[in-house]
Amino acid sequence: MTALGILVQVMALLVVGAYIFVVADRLMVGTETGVRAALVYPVRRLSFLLLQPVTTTERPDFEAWILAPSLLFGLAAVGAVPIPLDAPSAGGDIPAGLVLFGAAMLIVLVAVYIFGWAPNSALPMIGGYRFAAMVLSVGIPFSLVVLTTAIPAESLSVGMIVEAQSNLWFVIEQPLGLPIYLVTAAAIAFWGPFDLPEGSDLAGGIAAEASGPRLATWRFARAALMVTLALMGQAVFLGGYLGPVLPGWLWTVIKTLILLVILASAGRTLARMRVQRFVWFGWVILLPLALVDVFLSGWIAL
Amino acid sequence: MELKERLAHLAKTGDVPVFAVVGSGHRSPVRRLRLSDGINLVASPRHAAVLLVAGTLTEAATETVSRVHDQMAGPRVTVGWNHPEPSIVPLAENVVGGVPDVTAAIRQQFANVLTGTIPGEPPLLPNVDPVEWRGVGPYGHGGAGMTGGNPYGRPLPLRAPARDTLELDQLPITIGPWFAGFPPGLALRVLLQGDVVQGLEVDSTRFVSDGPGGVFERALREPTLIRDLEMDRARHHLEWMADALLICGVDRLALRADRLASTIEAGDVQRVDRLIASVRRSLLRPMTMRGVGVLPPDVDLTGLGPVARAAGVAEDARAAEDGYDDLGFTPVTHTAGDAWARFSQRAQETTQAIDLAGRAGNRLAFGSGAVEAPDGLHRAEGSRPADRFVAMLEVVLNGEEWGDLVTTIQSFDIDMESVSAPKDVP
Repeated sequence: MTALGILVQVMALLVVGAYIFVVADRLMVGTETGVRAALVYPVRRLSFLLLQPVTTTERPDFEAWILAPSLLFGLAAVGAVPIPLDAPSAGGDIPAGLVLFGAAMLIVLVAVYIFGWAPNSALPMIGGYRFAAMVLSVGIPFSLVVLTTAIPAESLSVGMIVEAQSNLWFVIEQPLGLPIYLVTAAAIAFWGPFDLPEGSDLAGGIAAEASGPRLATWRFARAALMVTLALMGQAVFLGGYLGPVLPGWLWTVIKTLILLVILASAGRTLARMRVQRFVWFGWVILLPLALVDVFLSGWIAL
Repeated sequence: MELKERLAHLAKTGDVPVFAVVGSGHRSPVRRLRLSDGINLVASPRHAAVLLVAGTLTEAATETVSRVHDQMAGPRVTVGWNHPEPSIVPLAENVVGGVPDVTAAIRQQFANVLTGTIPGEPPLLPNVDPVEWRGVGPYGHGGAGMTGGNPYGRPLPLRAPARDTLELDQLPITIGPWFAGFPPGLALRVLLQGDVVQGLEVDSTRFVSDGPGGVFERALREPTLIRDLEMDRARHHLEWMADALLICGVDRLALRADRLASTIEAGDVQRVDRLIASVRRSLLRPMTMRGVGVLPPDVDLTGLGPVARAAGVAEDARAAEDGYDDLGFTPVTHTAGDAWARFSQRAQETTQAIDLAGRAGNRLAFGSGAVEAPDGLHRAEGSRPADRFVAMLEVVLNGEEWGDLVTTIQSFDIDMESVSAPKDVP
């Protein structure tokens, strides 16, 4: 694929995926009177935010505040590059694509932290602190379960990992993988029961001082990040584009949507976890489970 | 210009982001507003286009409400709701009426300000730094001495005593009186170290006027139908549960609790039970509330209602009433005394109240100078439970993480309308 082709593919996936994600989330809350209202919700919301001016606070860190939303979207896009749509080469086809994805996802910490830091305000700052504690706690289990899928495939290329699932999807071969992945992915996208940096107990946290196009970009970047995480989740655990009858790209889309709906519904039906309990959960529960996942998969592969 | 008109046309049909400043007598109505189609109550003024000033506020609230107003990004418009004239801030419209009236007015003013029919409101306060800026360079770093020192931009952060061998900066901030996680009117001066509270002081200024007093205040003076009292209790607890669920990020269940509060009928216990089962499945207890907000053992719990009963004190003024005795009333209790025990306690008291209301017939409660209100024991003479909750905040919340502080304050159900006037205000 050419560089331009990859760019078009990634942008199309993220924009359409983000739109669907926002609609799905809207339906989950249960305020809308119908599907039609939910379908136009993102358009109405975006229109309003484009009309609203960007506010400022007393002596913010302007550069960081402008940079953070674009950085977050950029990371979501970089993370989506190595994911193949319908054949091993139908994506960035990077030999170490998994490493690129993992690196991009962990740098999300920087984007979120500076978005909390930049407005020079207390509640966003606390949101930033919280996210630092969160990513330090789940970064290792997240990376471990993603990298474990490379063991049976004997490759770090996402296309090769999908191909290695032609007999059995890794969601069955590595039963601990997908659950840990979904939990840690929701935390990295500060979503759902782990939306601590943006919690309602912080009046919106890192986004509390943001308005207008800045808030719109931030919300869009986060939705795009969710799409990237769902795309990778289906590629490495649900066999990506593999599937009968339907064309490969459609399987990718269907599986991505399933993961997005699971994440959206968890976000609206589960209570937000306290930050102390989350740190405990990351180190005491998720990390040992992720290690078990690595050892079991390694043992099976040998 | 045309693009702007198109955007305005699209945006005005969407949800109206409203920031509500809640004055006396309007906690419950503003909660019911959450159910209104097309109204979205937001937690940060930055996200709002409409400022709703509901009910009566004191003169002292003028500055804080103006500050909230100026934080709104615009185009912005202020709508009053049963707000007495002269209003404390300029209003585009003052609605006298119920939830449907104010919903229509908010939608109309939102459309007006988006399409330019009325201009967006100018700021109410001058845009100046709260402290004179004396720094050199954009961050005050260019002066002489340590960290830019002299002349400095801002006072240096305070230094905290070492904790885990780390000496950290402390950040003094003021939160409230319109912070979405607190009862309206509660303002705290907090010393934060990271997200941990290292010092705390309650702002004694009254921002919310005395409440009109509902059915429970009336019951102090005259015989009242048990049915009315218990239905009011059930509604109050359900609305409180909706608040708790919103703060814990379970918006879907919060909406259900709000709907239940506005439609519940006497005897209809099953619907509440189903809601509580869903709350359990949301993992509210293990994720957010277990072990949070436990009171020290030396705190006197007498008369603190559900908070006391959640800690095992089986004390309830209803037990002394003949009418309740006929219905076989015995107080529900829990033992853990944490935020979950309080949630669970109020949930069970809700089903109990709906059951009692269904069976009460025309039985009366005679009060005799003491009534068990949803937030605790009210007496004809003397202070309300809110006073005691506010007084214990400084002791209970020190050392808590911010999220736990919010959960704990919410779990007390403090009604700032019934707090006694502070000593330092003439």
